Amino acid sequence: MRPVVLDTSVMLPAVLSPRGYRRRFFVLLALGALAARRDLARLEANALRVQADIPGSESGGRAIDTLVQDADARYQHLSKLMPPGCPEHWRLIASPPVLAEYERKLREAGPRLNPSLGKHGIELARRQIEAVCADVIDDFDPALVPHYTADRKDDAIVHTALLADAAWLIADDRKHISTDPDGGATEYVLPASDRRVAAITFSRFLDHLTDVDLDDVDPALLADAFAPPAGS
Amino acid sequence: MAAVTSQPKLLSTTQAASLLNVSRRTILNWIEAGKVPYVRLPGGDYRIPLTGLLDSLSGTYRLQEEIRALDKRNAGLTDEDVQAAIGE
Repeated sequence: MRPVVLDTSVMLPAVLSPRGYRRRFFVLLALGALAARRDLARLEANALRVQADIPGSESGGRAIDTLVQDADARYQHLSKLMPPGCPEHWRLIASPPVLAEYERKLREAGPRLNPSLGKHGIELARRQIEAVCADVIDDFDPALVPHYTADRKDDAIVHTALLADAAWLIADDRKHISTDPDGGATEYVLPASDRRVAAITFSRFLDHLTDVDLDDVDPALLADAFAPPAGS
Repeated sequence: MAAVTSQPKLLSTTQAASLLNVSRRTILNWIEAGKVPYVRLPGGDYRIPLTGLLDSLSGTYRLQEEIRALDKRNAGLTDEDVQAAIGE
């Protein structure tokens, strides 16, 4: 598993620019999310059954077995459309404060880019992000995180990458996060721990993405990642 | 420490609402409509699997169609356009 956290400077182009390279990587992350969800669905189904066995508990809603089958079907559907040998180990990780920051930036910049985007378009963009997240770490108070950067809003993103033990924090924000003027990695350390994360620009990150050529990934496949399972 | 793991996550309605930035009432509506699997504990609290919650986004919002519609609307936007608009 290769967890990554995306700064807004990478996330917003991935969501709003339908043909770009950041979108192509977003499709790769969607494949990773579906693979993770397929595996987790099985684990969560078992955990839910344990809860349901507690005397006095009552289970309901969508059948757990259907959830597991649908999660596998979604993964298989996208996997077949991806280039052969495409890696499924990339995982997008977020936190509630990071999701809130994505949304804030979408509200701020969205109407400037496309006045017709509207409130509905912003909500839709956030839902796309939530759907591609393989995991969302526990909530924390952004006001209480250490000062990692010159911008408090960016500190929550760095903190999330550290808590998630991310392989990379990918950021095209060279003012505050990926601050190496030569485009190299900037390292952040979680205080009182040995946990570290390297922040790197998207273009330099591509040097590390050796197991797939993003030119071979169709950016339009993002929609296919969320096709209803056959028969539903 | 909240490192990412492949551990199952069963959420309360409050946690689920916070995660998706919707009201707790919305989550309860999804439960009542049978859109998500759940267990109602003896004390009345609910537990919802995270994957079931995220999966319900697709069924609830028709994500495939929504993504296609949004992409059509933004067809002319490049990565550079977006980064310029957000000041990066």
